[in-house]
Amino acid sequence: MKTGDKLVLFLATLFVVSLYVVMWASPDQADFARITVDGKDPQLVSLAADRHIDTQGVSGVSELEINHGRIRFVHSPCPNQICVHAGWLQYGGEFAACLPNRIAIEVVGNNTLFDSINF
Amino acid sequence: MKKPAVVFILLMLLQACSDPLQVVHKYTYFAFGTLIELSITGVDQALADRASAQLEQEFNQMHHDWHAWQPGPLYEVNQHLARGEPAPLGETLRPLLIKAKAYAALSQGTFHPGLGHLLKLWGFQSDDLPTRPPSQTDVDNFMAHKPDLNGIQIGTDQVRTDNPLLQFDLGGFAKGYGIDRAIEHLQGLGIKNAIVNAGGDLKVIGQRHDRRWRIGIRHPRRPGVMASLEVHDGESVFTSGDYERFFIYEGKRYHHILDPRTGYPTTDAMSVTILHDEAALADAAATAILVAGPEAWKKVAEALGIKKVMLVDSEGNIHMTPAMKDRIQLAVDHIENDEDR
Repeated sequence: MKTGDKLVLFLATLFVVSLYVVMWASPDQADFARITVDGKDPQLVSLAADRHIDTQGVSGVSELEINHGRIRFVHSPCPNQICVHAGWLQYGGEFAACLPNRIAIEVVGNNTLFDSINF
Repeated sequence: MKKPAVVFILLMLLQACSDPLQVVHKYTYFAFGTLIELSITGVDQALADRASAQLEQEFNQMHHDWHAWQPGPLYEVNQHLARGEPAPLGETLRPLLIKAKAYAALSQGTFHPGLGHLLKLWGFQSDDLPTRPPSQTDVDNFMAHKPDLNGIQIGTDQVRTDNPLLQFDLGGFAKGYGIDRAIEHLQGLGIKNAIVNAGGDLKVIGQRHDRRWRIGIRHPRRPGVMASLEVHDGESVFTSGDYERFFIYEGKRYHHILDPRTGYPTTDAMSVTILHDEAALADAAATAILVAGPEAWKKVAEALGIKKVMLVDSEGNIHMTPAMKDRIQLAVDHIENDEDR
């Protein structure tokens, strides 16, 4: 086998593996969440590790929780708690926001199941 | 194997992820009193950035112009009407009010853009949610003198009404109207593929390079989605539900969509989803058909000229028109109506 053949074989294998990843591997599992404060400097956080994140907004600190590839608002310094009521977000394209604190979270992933969410 | 073959395979692998016109540019920001999520594809980053910045500005302007209870043109109109005077009317408001009145007239009493006074009574004209409902007497008093739609006279440069209790509140309509305008703005810039999502209601144009835009419809009681659909060029998806703005008082849910016929929040349906081209009509229809409930929804949809409707009744049964059934994939076949979220 020549070097070129080996390269082709390697690339073909890589191609099949990547096809598997793209087409089959847990299509509804998102990878990251994008956290935006006041529409600026979006921050990407991995949904792989369970943890709590305190995010400073314009009127206080919002507490976010990541658990089993999902993310939610646990607490936010706002009267309506609409963000907390939004519950867990897990599908690519899902988003929730605390308007008074100007914090938005959106699930993003390589295998985005939805381009946008209606509610 | 020869070199060109290797190069060819490499190129094929690279092609898929390197075409800048296939990138979906995403923007999220607060404007129009809600969260705007914008997706644009098929154009370069510079044009997408410019479009996003212009839309943000336009949404802020519309928010200012059409706000019912914060200083601005519509608020000014309401101040005049409350004093029993005719209100001067400019082009920022006139087409909006004409359309709102026209849809209200078709809605068989289920959509009313002049209930600002009642919404205020309920405490929904505030950034904070109310903690308790108003007294029955207050609601009864208002309903006894409820402003009639026919009493609204929209002239070329002024609007008048025979009832000083009439206060415009275009929640349930202005968002749709604004989204239509935003999409037109994008088209004017030469953008052919985009989604404009304002606080959960959206309109799309074109598609996402290789396939149609895919939308998930959020479950009204649980995390995740209850259904999904592929949206065609120029279509809007609007949902009105009892789960967006609500408070619980003595174990009972009170939400922000009031039945113009009773003065109280609707109770017979959890949500209504509309698929229709014009966002302004989709918005008004989602509200109207939620109010109509499982008894009268088909009649009201027909009167408004809406063909694609999904309604979840308070028991959690999902009703759909045949045209909607053809388009939607349900992820669940029944909705448990509980407060567990």
